[in-house]
Amino acid sequence: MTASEPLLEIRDLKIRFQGEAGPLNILQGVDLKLLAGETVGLVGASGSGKSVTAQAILGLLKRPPLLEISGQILYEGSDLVTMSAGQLRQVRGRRIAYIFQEPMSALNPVFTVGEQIAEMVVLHEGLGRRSALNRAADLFAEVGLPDPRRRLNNYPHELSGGQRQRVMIAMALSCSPQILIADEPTTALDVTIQAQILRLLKRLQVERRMALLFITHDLRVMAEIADRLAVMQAGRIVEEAGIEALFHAPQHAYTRQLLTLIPGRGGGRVVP
Amino acid sequence: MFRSIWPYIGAGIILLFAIGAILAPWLSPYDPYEIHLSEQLAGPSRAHPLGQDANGSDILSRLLYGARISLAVGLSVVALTAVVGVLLGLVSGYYGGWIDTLLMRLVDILLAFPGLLLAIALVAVLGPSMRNVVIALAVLGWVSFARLVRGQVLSVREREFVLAARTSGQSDLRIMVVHILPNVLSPVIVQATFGIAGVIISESSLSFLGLGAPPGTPSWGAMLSQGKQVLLDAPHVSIFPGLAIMLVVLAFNFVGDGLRDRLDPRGGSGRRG
Repeated sequence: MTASEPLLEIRDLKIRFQGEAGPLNILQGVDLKLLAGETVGLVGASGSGKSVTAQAILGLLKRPPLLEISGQILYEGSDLVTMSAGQLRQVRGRRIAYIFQEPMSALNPVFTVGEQIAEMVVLHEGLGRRSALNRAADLFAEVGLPDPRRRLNNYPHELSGGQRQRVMIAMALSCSPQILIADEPTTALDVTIQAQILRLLKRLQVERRMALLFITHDLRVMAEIADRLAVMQAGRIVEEAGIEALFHAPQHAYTRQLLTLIPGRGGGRVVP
Repeated sequence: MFRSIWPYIGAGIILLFAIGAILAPWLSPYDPYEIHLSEQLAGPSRAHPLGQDANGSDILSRLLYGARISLAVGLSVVALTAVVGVLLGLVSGYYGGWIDTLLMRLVDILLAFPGLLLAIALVAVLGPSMRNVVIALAVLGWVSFARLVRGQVLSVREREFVLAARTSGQSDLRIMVVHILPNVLSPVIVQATFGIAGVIISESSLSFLGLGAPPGTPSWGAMLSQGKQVLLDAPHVSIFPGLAIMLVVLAFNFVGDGLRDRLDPRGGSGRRG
């Protein structure tokens, strides 16, 4: 694969949901490319279709409310939209991993975090339990959890929010995915922890040469982490540009509006 | 573990009855089938602490053997119905759609029958025997488990860790068994303890009506029924099996209450997730 060939390409993705008052056009033709090793930020207000786009990539949308999906999501030449459930399971977690917004609810409360990571490793890589737990401890060390061996035996409720998000990241990394989708991974955390998690994600992305699709409504977050930004509004990508270009010379009115909403920025310019 | 003393008392009573049931052949002072017509309806005495029944059989011995029937029927019906109900509830709640509609309408239909009446009708058709009592009670018993589990699954399946499990490439079966099931088991355990109490009463009721164990078998319900005919002359014949039923049912309810408080995360002392 050449550097310019996209790892993941979304072409004219249209999604309709069954709403209470009739069908709703959630996505109205989304086009997006993700190159190997780059970080793309998907920005937009709540309800603009960011998470739906991300969940569509992994075929996570349930019918109902999903009514209709058209377009293509190409990953390594195959279309994820038309892929069978069995094939999709091979992609999920192993090639494309997903991090959720709320790490508390994304971890199963009745198992220790070590068991949950080991389970993924056993499932996808066929390792024995002991080696899977060793791998989990290594991953905990990699994501900067203090005392990783002891953390293995903790239940989710025994960890802080930041630690839980590190566990989620470790879990997502457990099978060395090519693409990491992070759906507002720092929104539920306080500001200092947010910065730590962002730095961690950036470091891991560079070290592992993963492609990172980062979803957020917060442009400030993007300035720290993204190479390229795609701005979504009402189910469409209204502007797509490199981070510098987008911050310095936004083309679309909605992007300009989003930029003025950054606190402390007012109408002026801020260097990303 | 429990905040009040009652669950411990309940567990103690159940343990005592369980030991009595298991060790009945060694603990009972007499053969429960032994007939002494000359001593019929004799009251409690040193030789027969709980007295003798209309056949002159020793009531204590019969109670100990009767505990075997009550506990065995209670446990087997609840084990059977819990397994079936949990499986169906899990599938119904997880998949939804027509499977759910079909199963839940079946549940509605079964719930529309008065439970004991249906059991009576079934035993009347199948013929009175302990095995048929178990079948009759199981036919309705799974319904409450299925409904309970389905409701729980409906809420748990929407939680993010289930979605997270799907994003990590796990199969439906694995998600149901590994991720959802452990999160819905607490109310099932509580329901099961109350269920045992209910089944013991139903079994006693069926035996009381002559639809349970064959005549002469030392079943608490049948003993109560026999005692009814001589209630005024020899109340001890009914009182002791009645007390046994009440104690065991009460004990299971104490344990059920305790488990419910312990396992309910909103209770505060349970381990929260």
